[in-house]
Amino acid sequence: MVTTGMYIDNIRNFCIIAHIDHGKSTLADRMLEFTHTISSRELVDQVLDDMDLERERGITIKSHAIQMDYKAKDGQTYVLNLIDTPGHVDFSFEVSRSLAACEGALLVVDAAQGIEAQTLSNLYLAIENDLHIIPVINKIDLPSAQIESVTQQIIQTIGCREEDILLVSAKTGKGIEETLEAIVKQIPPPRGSVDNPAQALIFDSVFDPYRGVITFIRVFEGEFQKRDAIRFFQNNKNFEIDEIGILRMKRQPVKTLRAGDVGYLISGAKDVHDTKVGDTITLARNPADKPVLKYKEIRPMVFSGIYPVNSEDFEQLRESLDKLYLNDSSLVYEPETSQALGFGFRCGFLGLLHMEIIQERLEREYQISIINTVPNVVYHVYLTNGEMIEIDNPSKLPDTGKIDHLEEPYISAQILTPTEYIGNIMKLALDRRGKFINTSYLDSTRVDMHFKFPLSEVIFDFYDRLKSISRGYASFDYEYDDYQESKLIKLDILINGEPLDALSTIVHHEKAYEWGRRLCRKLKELIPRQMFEVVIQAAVGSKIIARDVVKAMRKNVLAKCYGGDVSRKRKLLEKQKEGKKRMKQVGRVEIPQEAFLAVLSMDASGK
Amino acid sequence: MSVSFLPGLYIHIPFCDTKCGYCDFYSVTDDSAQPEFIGALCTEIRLAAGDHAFRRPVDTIYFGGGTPSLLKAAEIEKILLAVFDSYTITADCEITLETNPGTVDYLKLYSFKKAGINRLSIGIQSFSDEELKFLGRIHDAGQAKNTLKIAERAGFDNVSIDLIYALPGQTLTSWKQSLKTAMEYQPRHISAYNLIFEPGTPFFRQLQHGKMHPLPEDLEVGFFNFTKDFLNEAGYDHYEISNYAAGPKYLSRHNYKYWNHVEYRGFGPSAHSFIDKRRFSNVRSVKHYIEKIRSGANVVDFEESLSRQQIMFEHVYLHLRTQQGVHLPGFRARFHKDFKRIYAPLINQLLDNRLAVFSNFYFKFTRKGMLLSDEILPEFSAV
Repeated sequence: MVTTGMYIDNIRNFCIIAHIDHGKSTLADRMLEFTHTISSRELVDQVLDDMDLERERGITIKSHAIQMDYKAKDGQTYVLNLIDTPGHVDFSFEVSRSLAACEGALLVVDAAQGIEAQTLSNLYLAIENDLHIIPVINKIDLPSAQIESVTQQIIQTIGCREEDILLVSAKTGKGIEETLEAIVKQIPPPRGSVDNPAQALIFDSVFDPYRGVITFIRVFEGEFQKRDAIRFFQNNKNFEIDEIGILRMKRQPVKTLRAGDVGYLISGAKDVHDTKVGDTITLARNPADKPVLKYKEIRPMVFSGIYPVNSEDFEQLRESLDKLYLNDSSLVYEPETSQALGFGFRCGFLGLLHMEIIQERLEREYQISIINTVPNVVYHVYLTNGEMIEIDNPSKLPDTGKIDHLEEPYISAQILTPTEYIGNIMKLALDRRGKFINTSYLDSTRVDMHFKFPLSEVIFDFYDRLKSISRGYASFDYEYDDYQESKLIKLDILINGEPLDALSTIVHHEKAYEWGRRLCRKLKELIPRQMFEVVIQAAVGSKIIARDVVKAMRKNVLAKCYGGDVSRKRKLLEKQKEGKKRMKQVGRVEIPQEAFLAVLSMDASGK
Repeated sequence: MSVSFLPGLYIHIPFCDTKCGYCDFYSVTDDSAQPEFIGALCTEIRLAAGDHAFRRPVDTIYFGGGTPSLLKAAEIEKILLAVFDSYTITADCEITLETNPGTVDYLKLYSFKKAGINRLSIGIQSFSDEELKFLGRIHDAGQAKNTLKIAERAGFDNVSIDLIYALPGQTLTSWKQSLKTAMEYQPRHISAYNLIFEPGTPFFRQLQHGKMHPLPEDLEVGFFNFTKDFLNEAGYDHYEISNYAAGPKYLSRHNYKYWNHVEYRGFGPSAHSFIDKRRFSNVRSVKHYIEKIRSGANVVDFEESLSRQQIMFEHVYLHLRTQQGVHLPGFRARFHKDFKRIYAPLINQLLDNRLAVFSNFYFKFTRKGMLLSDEILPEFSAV
């Protein structure tokens, strides 16, 4: 039997920092194979991503961990815990908690692509967390690999030596053993003692319909056992541990998790809101006096209304959101009503990706047809009476007479790009009201640009635009900054003279005219012709600033209908009715779902 | 021959000399199977009579196609004999034969008349050579006129003609010319169709490939309105979206059965029947049709039983194609429901927009509503 001291010395907790598609999952699969944690036969591609949506998008949305045993060249067997991290900026808080559970990180860079902005920001997070970084160049088998220049980029970024960089092809398996050896030799073992009051950091939690909440933890001090009464720091609630275990290919119950270990526990917690990522668990009978990390509540930054297309689906929508909520501590929602859309919910998301995921899951997993309104940020509205209110729905903006000024949230953005696209990017930044901060060169061909942007300017198609003006080479990352005063006004859309509250937006005053014009034109394209004329207007206050008209349909009639046509025509008419059902009736006008997101589909040229 | 609620018979003759690019009726140009076909058709008619599906007398028989006028008068006579043997036929039965110019001469028409045909529906389509060529017809304007002349000489009083308008590139002037020419022959009935690009036709494919373009909507509306005004002026009643009659005596009693949701029995390949809430149709292929009849197999390959909701929807949408519209007491008698009440919000919307009106005991489309009928009708469905 190993003594506690020896045991902790043979643990290595690490994560992988990589940009999407740079091969994180393939590298993880190879390590699992090499350590016989999984045989190649049972290897479903990319074990770490287990949701359909994640696979399609190539994004690891929820982190997991997996444990492997590795017999190193020094003859000793090590326990390696690979903690997976979400790769997208929307989930940067979760990334930081995952990093906090590790002592080291593999920095994986695609040999053909080089370092991307996202990788860089996660790398800086890792360095802040004092993780030991092992640089890895992956995909060295690619004909387009540029090992030398990527090597230079890495050296300039983390200041390592050339011989510290591992050359790997996760595809062919080259360099896997060297990587495992480096993990064992370079990453320090966890510190901590079983004798101290127990402390474990929650780095993830998921809701399982059969087991309740499964909480993923890294134990820092002391030990946890089945039947222990535990306490959550954040809400001071006590629960009993029903099951505790380690994470192999499946959950594997054990008796004890000790300082240094990574594993899971199942307690009586009902949903993930009791077990928030970043919170600390301790034992009720001998509690630690402080948490592992200072807890930070994450606040949604992007808001959008979600409405059922058919008003009778409202209850079903509520139930589906309730279910999603069980597993997503960052989703917020509360009922709201719109004159145009009826009953629905105002939902808050971490970012646009998070929003899209929730929308897709509602439609795909819960099969509800939904309309979501144009996403917006939270504005600080300073009233003339000195009060400040937060507005998460443009249609709720008070009358202009009552408003002293408005503030909007800004972000600090980092854009990595080959030097030839600097001009294009400056132009895009200007167009999006960006403030240039500074630039630094990663090497002679790549530059790291810093800006501040109003968040509202990047939630619409900014990323797509950036990609298209840089031929896909520029990458982008951001973090939330502070609120700043802006000259903002509310732009309303009127359909046949009636304001359509769900289409109201708050825009910068200099952009109102252009936006109104483009929005009207886009709506004209999206609203099908009806039996009467549909007038679309954009208005600021009582002033109409743009107008477009969907001309009335004049003729739609089949010339003949005889004995052989009756059944066919009936079915055709019924199908037409079904199609109309998917549209939202606003007054007398039928408006298709896409129209409510018209702003998002306006291209930059406004055509 | 006025509208009646007795059942009608439809007989499909699926042979044509050539296929026209716009037509989606089932037909073949190979007539080698024609003699066997006549035999099979008579067998189907005689067998159907045995199933007692409808025992009420029949007051219309309609030979459609295809080109039924390609048959010899003796063959028509043979088919009619099978019909008369199997069904009770009223004394004033309307017996229509679809006839195409270029397939008949005086003697043939005269023999058709002798065989019992008392109404001709002639596929004139246009009196412009250029347009006839575009449509892929086998006849020219001269043959069209001649057919009308000999029909009169052969003793046909009840003559209907088909015309097509809104052809790509067609002008109102040329359409007006065709209508004027038609007036010289005083047909009792005119079916005037806006060209439709029916799926599965060569015209439809050309449309999809961008090689053919329909007229702009405003122009089509112009053609429709012009036709209606012109023919009203000439004394014709516009009694259905595409049909005009010189007085109630001359509307198509057979076709009116479809719009009045009256029962009909169809014989021949692809023919549809509607009997006792059931609609069914025969196999399309002539070859399979003959084989099945010969082997005693069932020739029906589509069948549906209509739910009450479907019957009601069909009742409404078919009646609204006619100028008369939905007869309110008739609706109540059939469905035990108040039409005005069950469709109240929709009806109000249509009235407000002048798309429909109440007139005596009827609810009907206005001209504007009729043009938009396929946009409005889905709203009456219970889906």
